[in-house]
Parts: sequence; structure tokens; C-alpha cells
Amino acid sequence: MIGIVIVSHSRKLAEGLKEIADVMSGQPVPVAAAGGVDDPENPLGTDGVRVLDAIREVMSDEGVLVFADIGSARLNAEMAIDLLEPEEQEKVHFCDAPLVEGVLAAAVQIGAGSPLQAVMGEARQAAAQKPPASEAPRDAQSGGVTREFTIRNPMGLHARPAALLVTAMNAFSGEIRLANLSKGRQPVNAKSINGIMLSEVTAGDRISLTAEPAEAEAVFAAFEELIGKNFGDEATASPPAAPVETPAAAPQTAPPSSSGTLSGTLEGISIASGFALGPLHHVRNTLPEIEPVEVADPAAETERFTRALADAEAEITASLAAAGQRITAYDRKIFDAHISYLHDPEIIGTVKRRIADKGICAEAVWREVVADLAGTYAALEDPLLKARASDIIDVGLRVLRFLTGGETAAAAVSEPSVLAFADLRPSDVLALDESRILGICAMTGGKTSHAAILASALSIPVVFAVGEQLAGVAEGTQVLLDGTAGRLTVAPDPAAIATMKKDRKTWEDRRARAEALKTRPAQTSDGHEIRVAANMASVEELGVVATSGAQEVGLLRTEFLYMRREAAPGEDEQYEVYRTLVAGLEGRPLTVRTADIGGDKPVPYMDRPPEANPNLGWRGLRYSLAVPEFFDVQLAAILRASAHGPVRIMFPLVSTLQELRAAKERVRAVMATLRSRGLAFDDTLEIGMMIEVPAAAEMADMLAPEVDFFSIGTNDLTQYVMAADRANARVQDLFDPFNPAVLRMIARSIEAAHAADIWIGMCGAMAGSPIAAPILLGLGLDEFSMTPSDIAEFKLTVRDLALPDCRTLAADVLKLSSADAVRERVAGLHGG
Amino acid sequence: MTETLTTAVTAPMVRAWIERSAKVLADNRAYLTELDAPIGDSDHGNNMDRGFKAALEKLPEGDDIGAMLKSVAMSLISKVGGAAGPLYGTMFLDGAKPLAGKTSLSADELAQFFDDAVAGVMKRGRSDVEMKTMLDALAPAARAFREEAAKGSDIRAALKAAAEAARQGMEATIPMQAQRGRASYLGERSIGHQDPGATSSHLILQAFSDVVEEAAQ
Repeated sequence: MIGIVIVSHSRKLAEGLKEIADVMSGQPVPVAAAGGVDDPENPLGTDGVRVLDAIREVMSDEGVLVFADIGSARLNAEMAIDLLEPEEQEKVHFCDAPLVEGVLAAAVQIGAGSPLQAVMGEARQAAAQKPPASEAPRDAQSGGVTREFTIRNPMGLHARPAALLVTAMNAFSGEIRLANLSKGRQPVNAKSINGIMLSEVTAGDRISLTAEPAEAEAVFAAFEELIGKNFGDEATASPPAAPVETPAAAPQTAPPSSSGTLSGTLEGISIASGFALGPLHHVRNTLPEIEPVEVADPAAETERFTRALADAEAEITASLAAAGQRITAYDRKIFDAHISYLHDPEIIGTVKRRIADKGICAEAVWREVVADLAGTYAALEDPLLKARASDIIDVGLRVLRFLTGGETAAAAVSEPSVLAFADLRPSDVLALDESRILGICAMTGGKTSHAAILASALSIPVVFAVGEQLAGVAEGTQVLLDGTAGRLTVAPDPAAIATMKKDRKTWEDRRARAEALKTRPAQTSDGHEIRVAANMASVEELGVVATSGAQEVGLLRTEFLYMRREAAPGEDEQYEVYRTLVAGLEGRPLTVRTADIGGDKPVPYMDRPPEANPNLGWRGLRYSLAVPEFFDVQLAAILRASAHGPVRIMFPLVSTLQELRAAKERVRAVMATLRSRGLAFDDTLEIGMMIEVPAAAEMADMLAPEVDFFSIGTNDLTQYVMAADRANARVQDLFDPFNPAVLRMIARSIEAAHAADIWIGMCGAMAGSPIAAPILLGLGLDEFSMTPSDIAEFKLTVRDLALPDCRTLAADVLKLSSADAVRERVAGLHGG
Repeated sequence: MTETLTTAVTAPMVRAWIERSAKVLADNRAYLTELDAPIGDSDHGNNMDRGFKAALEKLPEGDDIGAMLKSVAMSLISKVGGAAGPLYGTMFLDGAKPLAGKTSLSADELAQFFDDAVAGVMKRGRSDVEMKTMLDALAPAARAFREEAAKGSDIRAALKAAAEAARQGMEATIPMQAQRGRASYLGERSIGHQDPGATSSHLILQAFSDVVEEAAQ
């Protein structure tokens, strides 16, 4: 993707502008801010080397656009371009445009997939006071089809709505023009952010859209969809659901008072499993009130403040180092952002000035500045920017601790406790000493927040969103936290405690054994080793996968790249995602399954006809082969990522040898294109296919010589073999992978793979099942790919098995006549 | 004490030049800023001081003159902050290009250094002499150096002539109307002020002349 570099005298301006660009572009466009110089006293200026680094940070084959504010910024931008290698220089262009408008226009156009020249053109026109001259009334002659619409979203077509519109319109190849009829404006190019913004379409305006006849209907449909979605305007969306409350003893309307304690059960969301019983300790992570005290020597006070900043930074760095493998590069970025706040010249300058001007203590000034800044962020509508408020308070509290010399770490407790937070923050997780903390609960929070992702890797129970009643539970009250069920019991009765203790004992023993084995190879009691892998479906899971004990990723579902958006992701965007994953896996192989988007996962821009039987329809490899422009983009992105570490390609839903050969032909064609584009990839990467259609299992002996590996998808294989829809409750007894018919298909596939000397894995739900483990081991499966949190437990199961027993068992179950009989036979193995 | 010819500038002299420049620019920080106040951003003294302090800190060990000057260039580009950063950066960078690996410089090589430096500044700033910029000190200095060196190859004499030419060039900027940079926004009101960039250029060249002179004695 084309990159943007912002060169400004002010670091704050460059970073602020980057922030707006990130939000407005609607997609992750690579933007690098290169503002200011490293001099806290005189932070304004430009640093040519910083510009150079910024250019390289966002460099790709598609080019980089450099924008500068005034005077020396431009000189330093040109200086930096001159310092690049000649082959880099060709790709970098200085864009002579007004900084703010230019960068934003460029970011939107890049996000919408426009080519470099169009992006530069838009950027340069960005500050025009009137819409770009229209080549207008050619609509009639050119035979365009026009339709009128009324814009109803409260904001009209400004900023983000306009960006969404440009992105949607860019998906069409023909010319599209938009005219604001209500304001009597000339038609403008509907793919131009400037054109649309300058048309000043506000709520209630009537507009016309003119498109080429061949695609007019599709254009109008896309536009109507945007209207239907209110152009992404969240203003009218319903507020987030209130936390679930139970009708137990907890008074529903109890104010979070300090006196009196509540009893009963608070329901929340499970973030990490486990059990805990202990006193509740409230951890305050909001800013305390601080009395401004006059100081005699403001210079010494400033000195103290500077030291506190340095101490805070050292502490973050130290805790990052201590956390080691527990957090990934991805998570580290959160804390890099925290460190950058400690260097923000604007914040530091303001604090120093106020200390000097008012002669009051640093902690009071710092508290005031942090609270103001957090308040400003919290008041914003954008959820991403809003979330910055908690980051700022997080950093603010840390510095405050050094200034006031108060309690050391946020979570320092005198006796092992269950910690209660209003809102758990990433740094809270990092600061935890797991050995002294029994569990964590928080009033708010969701499963997808950064803190949740970090906390899910903890070995103590974590429950979020238990509601505000938590504040009313008195300090020191005995609580029972069940991380598996996502429940907090206040003042539990002896019976509840007894039950829990028994559950916990079992859970802890097994957990301790499993944890000890987690990072070791998976081996049976007689030393037979198998590969254990993780299934993934998003970048955010990287940290969890990295610490799960997985040796590799056996299945990366790529559908997440395509969902909830207006157009298919481009090659560079996909490449960035795969590359991030490869880097995060640090040498562990990544198996990327090409998109399997079927009728059951509607993706609007794919424009698929409705199907009566989506599961038997145009999906998986069938769709990819029919739409090569879609398939080739994904293959190119996966191949390019293979230059950075071990990557495998896997095709879903293969039914015939011809399909497999056609898919491999596409891979070869894309490889040839990449070579001619001079892009690196690993031409020895493994190519494999899913075994999920009975035809493929039956013909596995003919397919195996064509690939490097198989991976069995048990969900689809089961529903196709048994002709039982997995979504239909009435036929659930048939939808069971333990049916000998399914097991025979699996056995046949494994046999065919080994006869052709290739390896075979399984990435369906069955792979992580402790009941299936002895059967699959006995049949000879090489790789087991599962949900990361199942891995430790799975390795433990394998450890108790012996290969000869498994082989006997596997041979036996293939001769049984029902799934129940299979289960019984497996239970017999465990029993004796 | 006999008069001897100086026929080469050695690496220790170049190191001493950078050290002296840093000192002189620090000593003249307030003066340069004062010159910059009426026609610029009042930051030239501070910027140059910061830039050369960084240059001194990062100056590599060893006798490779090309490497030393390139390092100075990168420090200035990164640390000066204002337009002087890329301009002085280019001056040292372009001047140093043919000098990689050299441990001493002949008069010819120094003459080439000054010519390349001036050409680089002209290109970077899209400017020429008589626009009231540092070039008004640098360009005459480069010319004077080459002419004096041609007479007898004595680098001391040539540097002395160069520093003197730079001083005259600097003073000649007083009646000029600025055509580049922030000062050019002032139009005729820029007349009557000495250009701060030409002044820092003179200080740097004078420092060079002084350290070579001292080394010879």
C-alpha cells in the first residue's frame, strides 16, 4: 500500500495528523509521523534522519508520499529523499500540498485503493476553495444512468462518511458522479474525497448519482447499503448493553457506596479460567485528588518532575523486560505508546510552565494536566480515540506514584487477594505479580480489549463486566471467583466454598501438570511424538498463540480479512497481516488457508447470488477458482509473507484432482508475476489441501502425490459424510465425528497420505478432543491443530497414552457400528 | 621558529576544526540568535549550537576524514532543526563524498571539498550568491582558497584567505535584500541586517583557519 510520511516542525502536529488520518482512511494505511526535534527545551524543528527513518518505515513497492509543513521541513524532506538509495528514491515522491488537507485526502484515497497519481492529484487539490472544475454535463451524452437519493444521516457526507463513500465507489471501474441537488452544485467525481466534501452534503440533502449503465444498478445498491448503514454513523446506534445482573441477593439499584457489603452473585464474562477464594482488594486506577501545595523552589520542583518521568520510563522498560515472552511485539506497542507520552514536549512544556508560573507542587500540576488531557480524549466520539483516555490515566498514575512516593506497584497486596478494578488496563496486567494475586475482576471491559487479550494469558481467573455493584463490595470481603463460568460470588456460604474447593483442587492439579508440559513436545508415554498446533482467526490472538505451547499454526482462517467491510482487502493489506503473524510466530510455521467464504458468511461486495444450499454451494476453492482476481491477490500476499518465515498455503473444500491442479496452476502463475515484479517469496513453501469433502477422502491416494500435506476438517467432513446439517438440532445425533463412517474416511486419508510420503494433520474440533486423541494417534495422524487454550490439556492427555494401545484401539473402533460404541471402547482404554 | 609550508590537513586537524567550531558556535550562540531576531526565527544560534554539540558527541574515532565529515553532516541534518540543518548537512555531506578513507587532505583536495560543498548548498537551497544567505560567505571563501592555494600550495595561507573572504562576504550581506528563507518574507525590511547564516559560515571557516594555524606553530 502507498505510504504517507508527515514532516512537521511540531511532533504533536505530525502525530495528531497521523491519528486523524488513521481514523479517516477507514483502513490501515501506513502513515509515519516525523515531527519535531529531540530537544525538550526547543522541540520545534525538523530532523532529516527522523524523516529518513519514517520513509523507510512505510516504504513499499507502491511508493511513498512525503508531505511537509513549511520552510525547512520541505528542505529536510528533500534532504531525506536524497539520502535514500537510488532504487528507493524512485518510489518516493514529495507531494507539494497543504499539509493537513493533503495528508487526509491522500490517506482516504489510498485506503480506497486509488493509484499513486490519483492520490497525488487529490492531495494537491485538497485545499481548493471550490470543487474541482467539473467536466460536467456530459452525463446525458455519455448515456450514464442517474438516480436520486436523500441523505439522512445527521452528519451528512463529511469526513468519515465521505471516506466510506469513496471506498465503496472505488470498487467500481466506471466513472461515477455525484451532484448535490439541494444546494445546486455541479456534479463531482464520487471517487474523490475533495469532490464529495466540497459538495457540502448535509442531512436532508437530495443528491443524484450517475453511473455507467453496465454497473449502475450495482453502484446504486452499494450506495443504498451505505444509506442503510447510516454511512457508519454510530450516533443513532443503541448504547452498549448493560452488564448482566442476576436476580440474586444483590440489590439491583445499590449505589456504589462504601459502607455495607453486598452478597450474592455477580455475573460477568470469562476472560481466563480457574477458581479463586480470598479477600477482595479494590485497586484504584483513577486519578486521586491532590491538594496544590506551594513550593519555594520551582526549579527544584521541575527537576523532581523530570526525574519522575525518567523513573516512570525506566519502570515501563523494566516491566516489559520482566514480562519477557508473556507479551508479544504487538502488545509491546501499547507500552511504546505509553513511553511516547512521557516524551511529549507539549505535555512536559505545559507542566514545567505551570510549575514555574504558579509555584505549586509538581504532582498537583501533573494531575491537572493529565486529567484535562484524558477528559479531552474521553469526550471524543471515536471509540479508538476515546480509549486513549485510559492509556493517559495509566501513564499519569505511574508518574504520580514516583512524585508522591506513595504505594509502589498498583497491585501490591499484603496478602493474596482477588483484585477488583473499575476498568483493567494493559499496564495493570503487566504489573501483576501472579504469585500473590488470586484472581481479577473488573466492573467493565470486553473480551476483545487489549487488557483482556493480555489477561487471558494469565494463570489466574479473570472475569470482566461484573457491573458497578462490585464497587459496593467492601474491602476485604471474602469472594469466590469462578473464571470458567465468569462469575463472582460475594460472601459465599460454606457449601459453595466446599464445592468450589473440590472443583479447584481437581482443576489446579491437572492445570499444574498441563502447564508443566505445555512447552514440551507432545509425547506419548512410550516416546511417540506428534506435532501440536494452534488454530487462529485474527491477528489479536497472536500473543495467546505464542504462549500456548503450539509448535505451529495448523490453520489460519482468513475470512476475518473479508468480513465487515466495503471492499475486498488489497494485496498489501493482506501481506501486512500475514507478515505481522509470521514475525510474531518467530519461526513457527503458519498454515494459511485461502478464503472459504460461502453462502453462510455473507460478504456484500462479493455480490453472490443467494443459494438454497450454501454448504453444498459456490464456496471455498470453488469460488476462488472462478474469481481469479480475488484468488490471485490472496495468493500473492501469502507468498510474499513467505519471504519472512515459514508459511504454508492450504486450499479449502477441494473435491476433485482437477480443482487441485487448477489451484496449483494459479500459485505458479502468481509466483511468476511476483518474480517479474522483483518481489521475494519462498518458492519451496509447502502447499496442501483440506480433506473435508468425502470425494477428497475417497480419492486421497490420487490427490496425495500432488501436495505436501493434508489437513482434515472434521466439521465439514462429518456433515457431508453423514448428510447431517450441523445447524439443524433435529439431526445432531447424526452430526458426530465418532461415527465409524467418519473415522473410516479419516483412516483412509491418513493411509493415503503416508503411502505418498506426505504428512497429515487435523484442524477440526475433533483434533483437540481428549476422547479422539487415542484413536487419531493410533491411526497415525501427524499434526493436531486446535484452540490454543486446549493445548496444555491435550499434551497432558497424550502423555498418559501408549502408542501400541492406541493402535489396537484404532483398529478396533473402525470395526464398530456406532458412535456410542466407539466412545464406550475409548472409555474402556482410560478405565483400564 | 621557522616558517614552514603546510601542505596537508591531517585528521587530527579536522577533528580540532569540528571541536573549535562547536566551541565558537556555543560562544556565539546569543550573538547569532540576536542577528536572527529581526529577520528570522530567533533560533539560529540555538540550532547551530545544538547541531554542533551533537556532531562533536557523535564524531567517530579514527583518522578517516571522509567518515568524520559525513558523521558531522548526519548529526547536523538530525539535530539542527531549522533550514540550516539540511543546508550545512548537505555542505559537509557533498564535500565529504570524495574524501572517504582519506587520512590527510592536500590543497587540491580541500579546494575540491569547498567547491563541492558550495555546489551542494546551492542545489539544496535552490539559491545563489547575493540572495543574503550563507552562500555569500561560503562561495567567495571557496574561490579565495583555490586562488591562494594555486600560488604556492600553502594550506595555511589559503585557509586564512578563505576566512577573510568569508568575513567580507558576511559583511556584504548587510545591505542586501533577502531572497531566500524566512527573511525574504520581509522584503525591503531585510535590508540593513547581517545574515546570521553567512555569519555562522564565517565562524566555521575562521575556526578551520585558526586550528590549522595553531597546529603549524
